Amino acid sequence: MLLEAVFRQYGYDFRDYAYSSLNRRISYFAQRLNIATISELQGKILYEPKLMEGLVNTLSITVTEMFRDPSFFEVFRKKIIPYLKEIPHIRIWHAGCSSGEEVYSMAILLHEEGLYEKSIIYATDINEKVLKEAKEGKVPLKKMQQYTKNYIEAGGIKEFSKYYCANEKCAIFHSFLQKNIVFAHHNLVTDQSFNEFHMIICRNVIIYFNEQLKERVFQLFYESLTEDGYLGLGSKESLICSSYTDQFQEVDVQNKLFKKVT
Amino acid sequence: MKLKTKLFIGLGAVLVVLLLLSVNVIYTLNNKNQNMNVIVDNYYEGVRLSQLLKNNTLNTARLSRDLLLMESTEVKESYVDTIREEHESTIHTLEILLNLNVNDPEVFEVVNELQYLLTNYYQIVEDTILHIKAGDFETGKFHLLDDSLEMRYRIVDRLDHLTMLEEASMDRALENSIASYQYTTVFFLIIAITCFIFVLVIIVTLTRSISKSINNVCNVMKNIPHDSFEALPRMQITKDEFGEVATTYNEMVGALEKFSANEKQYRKVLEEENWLKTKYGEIAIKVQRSQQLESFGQLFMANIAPMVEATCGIFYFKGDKQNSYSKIASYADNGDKDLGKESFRIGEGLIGQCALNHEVILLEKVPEDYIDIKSGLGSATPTSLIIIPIEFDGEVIGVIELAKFTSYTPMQRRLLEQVCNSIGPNLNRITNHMEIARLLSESQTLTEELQTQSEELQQQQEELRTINDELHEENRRTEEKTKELEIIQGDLEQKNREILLSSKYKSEFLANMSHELRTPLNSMLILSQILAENDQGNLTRKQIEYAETIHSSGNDLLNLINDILDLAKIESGKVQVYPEQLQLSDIKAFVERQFSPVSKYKGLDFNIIFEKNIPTTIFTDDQRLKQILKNLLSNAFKFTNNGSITLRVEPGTEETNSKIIFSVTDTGIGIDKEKQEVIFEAFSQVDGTTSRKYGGTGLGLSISRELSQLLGGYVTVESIEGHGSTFSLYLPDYENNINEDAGLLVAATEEEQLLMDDDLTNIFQVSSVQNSDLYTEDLNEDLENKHVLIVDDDMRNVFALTSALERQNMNVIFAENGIEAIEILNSNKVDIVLMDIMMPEMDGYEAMVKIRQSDQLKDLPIIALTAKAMKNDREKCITAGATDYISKPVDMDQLLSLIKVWVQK
Repeated sequence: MLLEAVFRQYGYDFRDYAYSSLNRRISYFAQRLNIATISELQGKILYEPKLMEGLVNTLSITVTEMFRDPSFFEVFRKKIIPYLKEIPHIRIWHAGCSSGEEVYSMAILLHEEGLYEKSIIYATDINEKVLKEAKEGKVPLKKMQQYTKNYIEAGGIKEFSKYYCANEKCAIFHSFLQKNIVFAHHNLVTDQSFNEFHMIICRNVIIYFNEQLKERVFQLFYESLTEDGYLGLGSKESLICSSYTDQFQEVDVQNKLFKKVT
Repeated sequence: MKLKTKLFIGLGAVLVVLLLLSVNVIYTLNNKNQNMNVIVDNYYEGVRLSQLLKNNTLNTARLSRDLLLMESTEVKESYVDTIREEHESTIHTLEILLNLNVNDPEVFEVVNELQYLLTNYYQIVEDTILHIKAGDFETGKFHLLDDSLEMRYRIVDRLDHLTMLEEASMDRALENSIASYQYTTVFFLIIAITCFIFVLVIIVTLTRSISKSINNVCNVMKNIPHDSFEALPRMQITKDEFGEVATTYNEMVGALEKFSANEKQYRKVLEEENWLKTKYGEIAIKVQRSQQLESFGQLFMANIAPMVEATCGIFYFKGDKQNSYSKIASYADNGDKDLGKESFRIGEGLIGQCALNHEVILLEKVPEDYIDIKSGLGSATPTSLIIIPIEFDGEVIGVIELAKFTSYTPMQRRLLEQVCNSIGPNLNRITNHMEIARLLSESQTLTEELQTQSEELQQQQEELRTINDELHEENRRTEEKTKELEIIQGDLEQKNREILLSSKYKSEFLANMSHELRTPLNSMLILSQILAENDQGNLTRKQIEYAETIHSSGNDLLNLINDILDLAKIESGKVQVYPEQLQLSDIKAFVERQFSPVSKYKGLDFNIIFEKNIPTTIFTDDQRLKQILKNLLSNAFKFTNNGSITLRVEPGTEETNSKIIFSVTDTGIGIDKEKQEVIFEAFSQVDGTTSRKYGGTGLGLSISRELSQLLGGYVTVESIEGHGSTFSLYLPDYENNINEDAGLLVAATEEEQLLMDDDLTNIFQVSSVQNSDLYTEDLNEDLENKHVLIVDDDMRNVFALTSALERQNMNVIFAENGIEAIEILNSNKVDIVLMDIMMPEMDGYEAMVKIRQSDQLKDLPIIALTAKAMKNDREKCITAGATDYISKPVDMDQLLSLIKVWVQK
């Protein structure tokens, strides 16, 4: 009911998100606002757009890391970079980029492989707030230690410290990394594809979706990929149990890299 | 006649002929041989013997003559012996001759004559010998020569005659032999020719007879058709061996015909089997890939029904339900999905019965309106119905019912049964597969759920951390502000535990300041006072005035300092509240005592009004209350030049949260509405001119307000410019749990304001301005006072790094090699290590490995300084235990960023 109302009023379609997760997040949201019932929350949300923003922020989980699951990036380097090297203009879509850590990771990786100049990374997310953060390219200093470890594990060939400078709170990525990144608002649930991509990365996003929505998203990805384009999913995600199992060929099972089969 | 007999007779005859011929030849030859033998044995022997006799006679004659002639007795003896031997030989030979020629009278006679002669002869010889022995050679000679000579001639003559006779006989025998040979030859020829003809006849007859029989057999065999083995030609049975062949052949043909018939039957069976298998295979292949029960059912029905020409059918499946079978698929239903019942319990109806019995149920002649099968053109009732169970593991897991217009052929039934038998495992596989798929998807869902939960948790954690950080930030800001306050008001610090240290500095500072300021000030006051007194009378009037001015200004300054110290003490919480039960009458007395003189001096009315219903006591700090009242009243007197000052004491109300209200009302210059808030700020007065006009530090109201808050109350102001003001102090009973922090916080903000207005501020601002983005120029808190250990043997590097890091207020220690570094680490507190790789004694790798072996230093950030060219070094560094690396020559900005990252805790 609440989600229906939200959809009607604000156009955010959370109706097909995974139920259990939604449940937890909404109760958490309500609890934080000291609201006892969902219907009360619904009433408040409909009249207070600010709350809606909060709800979107609560519902969209923005957990991310740079070089998250380093082996993914390592395998990416080994298996996908050779393919990308053949392509004159590379288009990569980072769906659900959150605060952009993985996008910058990808930019760094491409930079190190000498492909960044001919690449465009489209980084999209439903959450405007995190997109704004992503555009700033700032990362809290505390996290940088872990990120440096990840970078090294992911097979980084230069120095991670080359890519940022730090002030007392944040590490700020050098602006050359942002040059070929396009940050944009995009809702996987309602919006259509906007280009054809050689690689789509959508990690730990569809775990929040239910089966129908997953199907839709897979279809969207399938249609948005070039012939023999690649799809990268999160470590716990899978094409199993979807009708797209046969449409993608497994490139690396462990790291959930798939190749479109035509 | 049998072939064997024929062959025996024919070849036997030949053999007999050959035998006869041979016998004949042998006989003839034998005959010849005998003839020859006779010739040789008799005649030749006769000739030889006669010759021998002749010889002997002659010999004897010679010997006897010799005997006569010889004189030696010895030799005579030997001669005599030889003559006697000759004699015996002759007798013997004569006997043989007699024996030989018994059959021939002529010869016999001759021989007898010879015998007689010879006997006589030898008699003579003997006589002679005797004579000789007797030495009567002459008689002997005579005897011999006379008597024997004639005899000898006759003997020889007879002997020649004998020889002649014998030779004649020989000739005759030879002639006989030749005649016999010629006869034999002719006879043999005749017989040979006869035999040849005879044998020839036999061969021809035999050959003909055999080839005829063989031809018969051949012809029959040639007539056997090659393509089929039905109705094969038979052979006539004759009495010979071919008859046997024919019999055997006929038997064989019979067997062949039988075999062919069998084969045909087998083929038919095989074809049927094949059909079964093919159809079965088709179904198996078609349903093989389906993984869903419904699609499997539909597919199965859609395939099986046409195969058995069924026109409609239903598939029931047991599934998870116990004892109940529900429809999962149908064939040619009526479109409205209502073909047949939805489900059957076990034992219910024929379906249930079938499931119960595990047996096929076949119904023929179904009643007319049993069920309709519809097509576009019409509808009809099928006549046959078959219900087949599908079993798996001895359990009926499904039932199929199929209806058609004609009866089920045995083949169709078999197909159905076979297929139904075999899809059991298939169905089971599908259910298992579905179960597995379900479990898989469940597990996937669970995995994802887990991930979402973990991320959510992470997010919440993140949020908590953010909140925490914000709090920290808030704290930090407070701290910052407190630090700013430190400069002026050290006392404030003690209340805030987190800024205890700076507070100490502040109090020290304040103490120092008051001391440092008061000491010269005191001297100044004393000296100026001494000057003004002009004890020596050597100052001009003007000079005395100056000295008095210096003195009063100094006093003002002292007051100001005291006020500042007061305020600082209050705000830093150093002012202790000592509450007690206070008699209001004491207050009244105090006020009168203090201000009556002033009012008289300034010519103002001073009214003290105590309402009647006020409590008599209040629990509060006497001294502080008096100080507030004193401040308020001094202000009132200060700003009022004519009119009156009124102190009114009223009972407090619930709304104002007070027990007693003290109001000081004056008729002075009043305060502009806009400025009413500002006046409570320290050093504030209504305008810049006021201070000049009225003097004072502007701290009175601030102190009053702080004190009132300290006591749990507050001060308000109401005023009309030019008409006067009313300051009211609302005071409750003092309670211990008054929120001191809140008061402090308010105080802090105000203090900040105070500082902003103060020229002094700039001097002490060093550590407060930190928000510049130019981080490199900036002294960074993160780096300040951090201990960095530089391990490098190149002094230039060490120097460059040290100077750069010290500029960031970092404490730099350095070690020339790994060993030294470890020693330092063991004894000093180090926050981060910069480790060069190429070093003497112990290089960076080894050092890092050694460092990591210590438990305490496991998490110590170590930044490896690598040479740019060597890419492998980085990996080696990380393996050796480096936390991060940076290549030389080191870019300072990068290094500082890096250090900032790694000194984070």
